[in-house]
Amino acid sequence: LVLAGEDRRELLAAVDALPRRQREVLALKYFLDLGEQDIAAILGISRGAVASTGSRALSALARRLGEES
Amino acid sequence: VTSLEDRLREAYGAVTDPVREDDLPGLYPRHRTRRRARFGAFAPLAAAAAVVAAIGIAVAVPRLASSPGRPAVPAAPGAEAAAPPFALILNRPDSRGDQGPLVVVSAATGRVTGRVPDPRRGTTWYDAAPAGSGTRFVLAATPARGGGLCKPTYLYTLTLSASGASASLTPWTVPVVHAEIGSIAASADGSTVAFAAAPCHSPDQQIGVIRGQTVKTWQEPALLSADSLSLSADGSALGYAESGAGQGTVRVLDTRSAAGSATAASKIVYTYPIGARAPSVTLGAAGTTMYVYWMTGPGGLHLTGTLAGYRIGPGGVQGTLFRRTMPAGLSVSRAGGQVLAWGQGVALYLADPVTGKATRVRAAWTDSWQIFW
Repeated sequence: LVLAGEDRRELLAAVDALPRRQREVLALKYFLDLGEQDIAAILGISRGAVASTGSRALSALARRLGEES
Repeated sequence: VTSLEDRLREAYGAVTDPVREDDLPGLYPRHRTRRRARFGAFAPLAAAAAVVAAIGIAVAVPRLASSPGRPAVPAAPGAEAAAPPFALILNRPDSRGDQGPLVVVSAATGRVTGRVPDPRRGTTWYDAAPAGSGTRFVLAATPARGGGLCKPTYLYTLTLSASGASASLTPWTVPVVHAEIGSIAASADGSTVAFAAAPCHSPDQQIGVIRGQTVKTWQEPALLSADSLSLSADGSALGYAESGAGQGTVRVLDTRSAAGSATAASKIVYTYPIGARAPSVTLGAAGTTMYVYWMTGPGGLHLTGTLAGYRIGPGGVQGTLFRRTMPAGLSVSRAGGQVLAWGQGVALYLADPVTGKATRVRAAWTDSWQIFW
């Protein structure tokens, strides 16, 4: 998958608008492909919080990009 | 249809692939051994280093111009003042999120003149906004861990002695901000503080202004967010960048207006150039000038930065003071009577507020993780 530059910019701009914790979870999950347990250990939050934060981040991204969550 | 998750993987990879740990000197100057040891319990060393780097890179790259602090300045534009004598710096949190102390450095010598320990057990410094004299800062702290998205933010006023030591650290009696803030700004006397935050039970963001014992909030429209906050010296005008998918504006909000809608209380004074990325803005002290930094380019890391100064009024931009090319990856704020353009791992410049002539400050402390000057 290779996104067009404009699509990538739009996506990253939407990521940029997320709260810091959501950006951290997205980066660890989708950049490093870490599991929830590792992310929880790194960020010092519960595994459930990782899951809910990631879910909220994706939902927020979808809304910002005009897509269904 | 490609999933959002796949697109995120592609976007992160495209932006961050060219960046390696070796490209980022100064990220791990301290406690490297301890940090590795902590990680060793659950990840290989290489992965540990990559994780620490990734938090910084992948989180920061989409917002290369993330907040370096929001200095307030008493001087009027054109009346160039010396840069403040002291800067606060934060080093990168370790793998567990432990921040370490806030350090005061002499801007002239780079010498550490003081340290400000975490204000209470289990909390860590998070953000700061210089106020006025150069020896006063408003600080924000949050719990070091736990709390998820509902972490409260505690505010303090730090006063430095003439030699740069921590002379007093006074907690604000009100309020605790019941959210992890995204940006703060302070008036010149430190009595007015503005913040942007997404309350933990709401998907939408709020702008808040604390003055004395009162807090006023304005709601951002859905899908839009406020960042890069700066207050005029008297605290009456709040400048901020508002962005969302496909749009970006600079607004100035009258902090004396009634709480409610941020859209109703503010005016658009500037619209980003089409294709601009990671814009960062700061108001001049009098609220009559505005400085904008943005990047353009085809994507990835092939970006060019632009710094521009404008005269503004109620109707928007009234004239251009300067416009010049700068390196990519900076953000702007105020430092004394000058415009600070800084990016961690990039460079730090002080720009004349009228001509835009930029002077690079070459000192080790300018490569810190966060700088508040």
